[in-house]
Amino acid sequence: MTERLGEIIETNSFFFVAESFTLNRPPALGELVKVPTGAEEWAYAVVTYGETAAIDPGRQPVRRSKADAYDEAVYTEHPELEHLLRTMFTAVLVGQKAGGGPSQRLPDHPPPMHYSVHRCDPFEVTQFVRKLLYLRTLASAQMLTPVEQVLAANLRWTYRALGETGREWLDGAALEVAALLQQDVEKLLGVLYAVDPEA
Amino acid sequence: MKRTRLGVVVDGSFTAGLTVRLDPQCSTEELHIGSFMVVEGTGYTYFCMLSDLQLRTADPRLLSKPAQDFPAFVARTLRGSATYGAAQIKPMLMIDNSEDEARAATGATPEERGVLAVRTIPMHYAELMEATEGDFAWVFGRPELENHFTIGTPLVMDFPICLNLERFIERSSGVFGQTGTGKSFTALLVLAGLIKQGVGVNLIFDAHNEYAYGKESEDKVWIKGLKDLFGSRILVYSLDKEMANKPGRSADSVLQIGLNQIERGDVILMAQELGLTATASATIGLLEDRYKGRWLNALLEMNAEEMEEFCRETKAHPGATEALQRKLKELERKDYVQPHMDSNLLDEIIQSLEKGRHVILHFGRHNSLLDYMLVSNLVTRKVREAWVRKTEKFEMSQQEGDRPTPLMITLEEAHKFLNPEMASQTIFGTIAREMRKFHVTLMVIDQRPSGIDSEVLSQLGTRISGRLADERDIDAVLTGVSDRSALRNALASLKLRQEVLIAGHAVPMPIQVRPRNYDAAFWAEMGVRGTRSDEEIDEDRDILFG
Repeated sequence: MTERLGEIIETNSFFFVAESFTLNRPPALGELVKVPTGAEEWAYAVVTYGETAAIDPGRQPVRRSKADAYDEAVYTEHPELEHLLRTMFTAVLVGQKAGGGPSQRLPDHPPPMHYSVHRCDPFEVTQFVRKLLYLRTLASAQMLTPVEQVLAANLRWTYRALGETGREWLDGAALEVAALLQQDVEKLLGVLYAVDPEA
Repeated sequence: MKRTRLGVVVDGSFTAGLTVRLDPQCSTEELHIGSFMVVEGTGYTYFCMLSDLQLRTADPRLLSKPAQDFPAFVARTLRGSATYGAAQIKPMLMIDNSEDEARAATGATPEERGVLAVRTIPMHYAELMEATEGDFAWVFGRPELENHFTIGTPLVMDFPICLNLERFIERSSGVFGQTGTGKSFTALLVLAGLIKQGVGVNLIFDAHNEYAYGKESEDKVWIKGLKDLFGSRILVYSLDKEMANKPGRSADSVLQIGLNQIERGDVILMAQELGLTATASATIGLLEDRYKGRWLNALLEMNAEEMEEFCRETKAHPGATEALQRKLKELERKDYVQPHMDSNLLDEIIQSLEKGRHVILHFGRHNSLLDYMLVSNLVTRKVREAWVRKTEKFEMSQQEGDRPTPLMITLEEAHKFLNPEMASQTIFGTIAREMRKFHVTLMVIDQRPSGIDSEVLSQLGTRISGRLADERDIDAVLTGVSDRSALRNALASLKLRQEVLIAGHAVPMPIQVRPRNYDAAFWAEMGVRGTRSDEEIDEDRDILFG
């Protein structure tokens, strides 16, 4: 069983929002995650946004630290914070698996509400990123984070997740992104500078 | 055969050619202007020539960024995407994709191999591929085919490119290139091929003593001449009595010409060399009227009174006549010129040619332009008359046995005979313009093609050209050729040595070629004397002398 990361609290055909099981530690920006949609069926998504805020919109967070107790110590001194705050993340849908291998098109149905978001194991990542069409879906998605930063984050995360074969994949993916963003050189350079493994 | 992909067609038109976006891994540096490539369309495979390479950017903002600011990874990624190479290619020929590749090996002509003139263009995303050996063979044929002669190899590959000799000799041809590009070696190759394969007969005016006998090349290698290679199949007529008797390079005959054989046209051709004025032609006309064929002898023998009398009677200008006599005395002083000669020697040359023996006119020490122009014009005039008679006879009888053997006349320094002022008057101009129908063609060799009359240039069937620096020369070589802009780039990109562009009648499409080496291996292939082993020579001696 793969690791569960959160639970879906908002869902549609393009993206979902999930509440993370760990406060302040949603999955990494650009990480590939999956949601079960049936028996042996999964929807794949890339994390594009993370946020920690008060559960009750009427109770804005206030300063809690003192001179001798700050950062992590704040949470030790105020255990109730775990119940006042929550961390949420948004993931853009990029593919699905319904029998056979993964395909890089939007799932037929939105992921079900309250279902769990799972981490992908390295084998699944390898299988999924073999094709690069999903970068196209990602580049055209509506999101709060600048799209080139999400692309860069995904490339970086995948590069690390793939281990030894990462470098070869990154060169190919960078070319794909270059083709996608060739009309907008500023954005393209933003991605390439951010993923440069030699820097 | 599997081809390597270079890019895809993204734009183009039938008239302007196709634009290919090069694949990221294909560097522009790997491609050479003028090279032969293949585009795989859906219905047809197109044989193309690379005419231009361009560097492009998808976003012009990229151009304003200093390149050295890009880390290696960024620069590498941009190459082939936001910045990319584009190739302009010109489809020249095509084949139906349903053609069997086996046919490529068997057909004797491009038509029989299924190669068609290009009539359409491929759609977007047709793939540009590197040509394979099979593609070259498909278009240019294999050396085993009849009348096919290996002239060299493609610039960056190593397999034979063939010239169709029968087609080569069918029309006049030109070998051009600036000094040092190896014009005479290329001409030697072609001549050796023609003689070896027995396609037509050759009359060669060897102005610089390059073709008959061995000489030292620019690389200090001793190379064989045609006489060394083909022995008795070649007859050498020398103007130079002394050189003709030198051991090892003796001529078969010494050529002498008589003043009675020189005609008005021969003299007018040399007007510049002799310093003749515009009135000379008129004066000679008057002399001819009175003395007929002996006019030159008569003029040179005149004393003052005789000349005065002649001028009075014919209304010739005395000053002009006197000047003409003085200037034409120079001809008399040539030691190969005799007061009177019957036509035996010239007839002998014609008979040898008719029997299929090749004739080289060797000038030896008589290598001034005057000697060259006088003798070559005179000899060619006689030979042409003979061929015209033969053709007329053939047309009357329509017997295959009467068909004249195709004759090719090799002419160096062609611009002297074929410049715009002369081309209409000399026999060579006539041959270049219309003599194909009399089975006589020219192979002109020249380093300044711009000096040749454009009407003559446009009649050339096959052009073989080394590098040319002058724009006018390049224009001249391409006179009367389609797709000039593509060929212009191909011509300008040649290296100074060992690279030529061949275009025209003897090749299905223009091609850049590295001519084969004129060396021992080539001589051996020509089946040549002097390449036999000692044992073979001993064997022959035993047979002869017991």
